[in-house]
Amino acid sequence: MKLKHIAGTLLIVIGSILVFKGAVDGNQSLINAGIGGVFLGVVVLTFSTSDYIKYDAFKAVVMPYVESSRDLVDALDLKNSAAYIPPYKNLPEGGVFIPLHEDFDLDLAKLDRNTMFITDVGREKEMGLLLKPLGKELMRMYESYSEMDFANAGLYAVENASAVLRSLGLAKSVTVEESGAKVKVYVDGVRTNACSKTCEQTACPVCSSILLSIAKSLQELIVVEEFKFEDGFVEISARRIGGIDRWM
Amino acid sequence: MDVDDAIILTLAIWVFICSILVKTVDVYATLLLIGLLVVAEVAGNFIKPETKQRLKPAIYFLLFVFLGIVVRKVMEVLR
Repeated sequence: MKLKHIAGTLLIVIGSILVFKGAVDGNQSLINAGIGGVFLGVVVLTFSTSDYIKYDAFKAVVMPYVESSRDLVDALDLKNSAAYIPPYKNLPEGGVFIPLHEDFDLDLAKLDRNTMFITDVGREKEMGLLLKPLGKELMRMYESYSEMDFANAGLYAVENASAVLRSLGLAKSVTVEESGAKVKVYVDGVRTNACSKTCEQTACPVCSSILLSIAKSLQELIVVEEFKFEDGFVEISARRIGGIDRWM
Repeated sequence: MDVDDAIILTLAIWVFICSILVKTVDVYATLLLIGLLVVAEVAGNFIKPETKQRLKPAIYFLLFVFLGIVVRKVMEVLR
């Protein structure tokens, strides 16, 4: 049991005893002190329930997975930018489609959770790799924090990511701008230091979660156009390419 | 000291001051609610999302107590 658990439980127990003693003796100060003890105990227990690992441990554990998914894309010689698919019936968690050809086509009706290599299709334009988005868990945290489902929530909902990423110590701010079909995302203070040119195919969980959130909030597929990065500042250019119905 | 510890310390100091200065349970409970709401708002950006979710039942409970206090006071005035 962690120290905070013990401290919280002790505070609640002592507080309860003080409230009882205060009530028996008719001592108002003792009752107040008891209530304060219980209150602090609850607060201490609340703050001791979530466990977070250190940044170095995060890097050591998570980054090899990011690297291996990038190696997979490299090995398949996929050079085109990824398209982020919002969650829909076949893919409840959404998806990242890395097409074989720049001028790609996609039939979302043929995709499902068990599809990865899309090769068994009639036209070569539909071939590519379908990955589960690395940022799906972070997106869930954004939704949980903002107490809303991002589906059709609009682009501004995505800026809730700022608060979550800041509290997790992963990035400082997220700004999203829209002009026509173009969407620009500015992520400041990114701490993962994993940005490279391959982010256009397989972004790190932080950028992936933001792109997936955008796709979900717009209920449209978005294709990454460019990733620029410099000293923890990431600028992502993406383009809306139509909703689920258009690609069915 | 991380943010969580600073928040707990701030609330502990607030509880201590309130315990010394306040004599009635009504005012004391209201001040605890105010302290918790202020901390949740001011440090909201630094509190982990899961922790923030777990703080909500405590806030709702104190709000319920506050509602009870308000109703009681209104009844006193009406009588």
